[in-house]
Amino acid sequence: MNSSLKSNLDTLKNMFASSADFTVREMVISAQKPINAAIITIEGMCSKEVIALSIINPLLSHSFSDGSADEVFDEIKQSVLTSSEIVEFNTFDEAIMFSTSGFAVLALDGTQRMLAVGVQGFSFRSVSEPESEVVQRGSREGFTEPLRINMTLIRRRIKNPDLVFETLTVGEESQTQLMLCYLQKSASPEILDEIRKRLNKSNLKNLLASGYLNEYLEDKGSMSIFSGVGISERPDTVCGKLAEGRVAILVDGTPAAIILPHLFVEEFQSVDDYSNRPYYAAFIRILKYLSFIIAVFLPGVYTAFAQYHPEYFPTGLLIKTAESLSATPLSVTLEALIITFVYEIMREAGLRIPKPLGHAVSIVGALVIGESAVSAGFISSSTLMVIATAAICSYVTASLYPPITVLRFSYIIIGGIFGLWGIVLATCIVLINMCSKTSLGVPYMSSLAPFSMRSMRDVFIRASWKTLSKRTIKVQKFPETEDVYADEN
Amino acid sequence: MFKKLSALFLCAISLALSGCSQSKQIDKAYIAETVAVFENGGKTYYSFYLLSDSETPVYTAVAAESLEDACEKAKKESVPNLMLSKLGLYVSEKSSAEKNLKGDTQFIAENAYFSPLIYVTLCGDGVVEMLDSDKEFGEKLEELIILNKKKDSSVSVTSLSIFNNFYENKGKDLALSYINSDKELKAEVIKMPLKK
Amino acid sequence: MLTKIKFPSKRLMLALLLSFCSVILLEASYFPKNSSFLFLLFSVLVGFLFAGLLFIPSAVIKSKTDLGFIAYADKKTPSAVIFVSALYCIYFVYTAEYFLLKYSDMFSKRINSDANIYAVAFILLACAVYSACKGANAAVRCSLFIFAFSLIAFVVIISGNISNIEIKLSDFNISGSQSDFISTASLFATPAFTAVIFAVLSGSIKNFRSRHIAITLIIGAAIFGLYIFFALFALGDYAQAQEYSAFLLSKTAHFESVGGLDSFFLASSLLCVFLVLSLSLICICKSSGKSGSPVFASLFALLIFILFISSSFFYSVKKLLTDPYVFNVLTVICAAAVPCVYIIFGRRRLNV
Repeated sequence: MNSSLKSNLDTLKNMFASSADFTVREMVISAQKPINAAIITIEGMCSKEVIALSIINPLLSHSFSDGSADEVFDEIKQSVLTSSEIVEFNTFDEAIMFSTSGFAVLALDGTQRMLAVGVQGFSFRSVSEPESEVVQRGSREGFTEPLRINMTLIRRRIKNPDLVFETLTVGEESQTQLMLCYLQKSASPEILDEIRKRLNKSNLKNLLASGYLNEYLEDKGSMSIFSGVGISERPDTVCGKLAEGRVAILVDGTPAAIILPHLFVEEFQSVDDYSNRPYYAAFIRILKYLSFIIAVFLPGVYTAFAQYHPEYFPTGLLIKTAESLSATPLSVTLEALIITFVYEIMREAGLRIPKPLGHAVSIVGALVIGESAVSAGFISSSTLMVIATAAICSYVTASLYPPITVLRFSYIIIGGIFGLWGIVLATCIVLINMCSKTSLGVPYMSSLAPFSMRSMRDVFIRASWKTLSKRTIKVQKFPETEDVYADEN
Repeated sequence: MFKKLSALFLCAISLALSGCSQSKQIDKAYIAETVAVFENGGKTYYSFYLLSDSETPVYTAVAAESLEDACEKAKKESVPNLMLSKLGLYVSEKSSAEKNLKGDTQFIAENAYFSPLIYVTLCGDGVVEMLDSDKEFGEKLEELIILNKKKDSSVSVTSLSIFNNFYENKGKDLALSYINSDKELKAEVIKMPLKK
Repeated sequence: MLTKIKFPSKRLMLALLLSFCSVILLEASYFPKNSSFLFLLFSVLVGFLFAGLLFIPSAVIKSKTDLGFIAYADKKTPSAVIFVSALYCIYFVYTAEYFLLKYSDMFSKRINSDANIYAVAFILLACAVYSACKGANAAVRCSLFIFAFSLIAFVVIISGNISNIEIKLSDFNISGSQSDFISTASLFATPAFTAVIFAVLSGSIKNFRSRHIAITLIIGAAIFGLYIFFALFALGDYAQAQEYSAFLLSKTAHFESVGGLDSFFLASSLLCVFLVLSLSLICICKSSGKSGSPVFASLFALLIFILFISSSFFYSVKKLLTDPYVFNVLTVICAAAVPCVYIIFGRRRLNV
């Protein structure tokens, strides 16, 4: 930076390409020798009232002692400004970083230093219940877009100096801020180092959502339809994971935290399990596992049975199924694929459609697709029932919806071509893939394969809190956790 | 690139060679649940009763010397997609059973698609006609067979049991279930001598 | 990602136990006429004792050196290890071929006679190649799920047959001929192939105890015994009319009017064969020092497939590849003879 205010302002204006939201409020500070000053802000990022109260008013009303520009600068920093957050810096990159983060940058003529004053006032969504992780008994707070608010939501729940927030910047152009959150005594230093390395290696130009980082954070050679990276919109869930030695990554602008390492069994755990009675929690867990199996296998097995093994149907069901299928023009495989495909279209439409129209679409979907198509003989009622049941079951574990969808389509095709034999073989392949997958060195199928009796207390059942509290199982202590650096070698 | 190419090659080969055109398909299959053996005009007939949703029984009868012969004729003449995996009841008039029961039991035992637990019963005159007119009659027969077994445990009521008795060859008579419809429908036990 | 982490010995034993079960599921018929239950049980015990003896050399090497046999041979005779590797590769190709042929026969006779058996074998081998590329650890972890399913299938099929049991007291006398004893004992000795798998993979296991082998063999013998009991007393002579009495047991299993349990047989047999083929390919790769190499595993899978095709054209080839006597002789060589030579000469070298 230059000592000349004009030169610094010109440089910054050029860097911002004379953008319309780059605003400069020039003023004269009345010291013995009047000193030119300027407050640089990005329109909409700062609160004008706070700027006036904590910067402009104090500057204009203060009687400065005689001194050089540097001495006046120090006096402003220490005694004049009433903001709680003041940072001194001297590079243009920092000036850009602070001003685009909602700080007001104060520059003085005659000194190379500048001050960033915390006066953020940009509008953001208020803390509300996350839509994708609804619970009955837990907190109704979910993450929002600003990073600082998300940090606060976590800090309020873990009032422990062990909780560390570490800043990183990713994205050559977007310069998006990330926070690594971990409990210093619980998290593994090797896992932390590896996460930092992978984030630094990412060659993203713009990081606009946390999902962009998933592929960089997954282990090499562990690509699979199941994600080795966990996502949560709930601060209470993240805090629970931090206590188990996991690391959370908050991304500015995304109302979700990435959690690493991530295991398959965690997809079936929810906050409600720990608030409800253990027997009910066990029932719900087992229900979730069964729903997952039904969601994935039911359409494929139905197709396989109808196409190749009709003798496996019970006699009563066999008559009804045969009658309904014989009345339709398409084979059962094609029917199942078409119904599943149409259902996916409706689901996507339902996500994107404006709320006022949503009701109309759901009625059209139910009546037209369901009722009329069956009456007209385009599809059979038995196939429709099977697909509908599988679809409902897939929402029990909503976080697994993408792999469930892919597997469901695959099994329908495989069942239609190869029968039950093909489905069993495909399942073997999927299991081999899942069993070989790791998440930062921790086997993805931990607790199940490798089997750990100790961690079974929180897999199919939820043991009582007396048992769970005796010892927290740290994720890096799971059996057969690998040295992540072996991956590099 | 190599992985993608090999996966594509694999899928192509699998689809080409899998023979998926040979699928049975539930909507095209004619599923036989009962077979009845009777004599008419000096000839032996095999009647296959098919699963259906209609009010009256759906059946097809062929003249044949054995169950094996009857299955082939039925597939050629009337029901090409005849499916026998769900066959649950074999009813034979006493006169036909003396000639055909052993051979038919052997045929059932040698073919994987038959269930070994097909109920087998002999019957008197008029019982097979009741199968033609009453759709629920087959279930009534099965109930009577099960009751008969409970009353007398030495009775052989399944094809598995009958096969084992035929081949045990200890000179004992074979106790079989017999459905009589003289006055009312009832199940009895009759003995058939086992030839050494 | 191929892992170098060692896995517990108990898990390998579980995978080997499931491999035993493929013998029951795929064996066409091994109940000689007029043999009693105790006679067959005795044959099972002799067969498993034989299998147990074949585990001893590799168990000794593992206990003393914590190495698998190939690694041990490499350490002792680095120049000759290539011949040992070649021998074991041939053995595992034979093992894979043995079970693949038996499975394809069972598939075409019992499951779907219209299916193209070459496609079945090709796809099965391709999936086994994928499993081999992921390594022994992934395959052995997968065996936990296979075990869970197989256990359910076993319990369902056995309990579904309880109502069919008719006990004949005469079957508890020991009656059978010498030739029947030799043929049944040699058949029940084929699970000894797991000793060779153990010899190759023992270097990747931790917490090994000799009692793990004993317990596995005892459980295997118990499963075989239970299976023979049900086949004799629930199926009786019916089992002689058709091959694959395990399939018949699944067909006769029922709970009131609920049947169709032969689907469990279909699934279990496929899972066990898949595991055997995967372990065979994994052992081939490990014996050659090319663990996790997709090209290497694919080459051997292609070789197995070519042999499979040729066996369908040349009956003598098929007979050779499915002969339990030949299989047992090769097993003795690979599980006992060669390791014993190394143990004896290895000691002598130390003493010199």
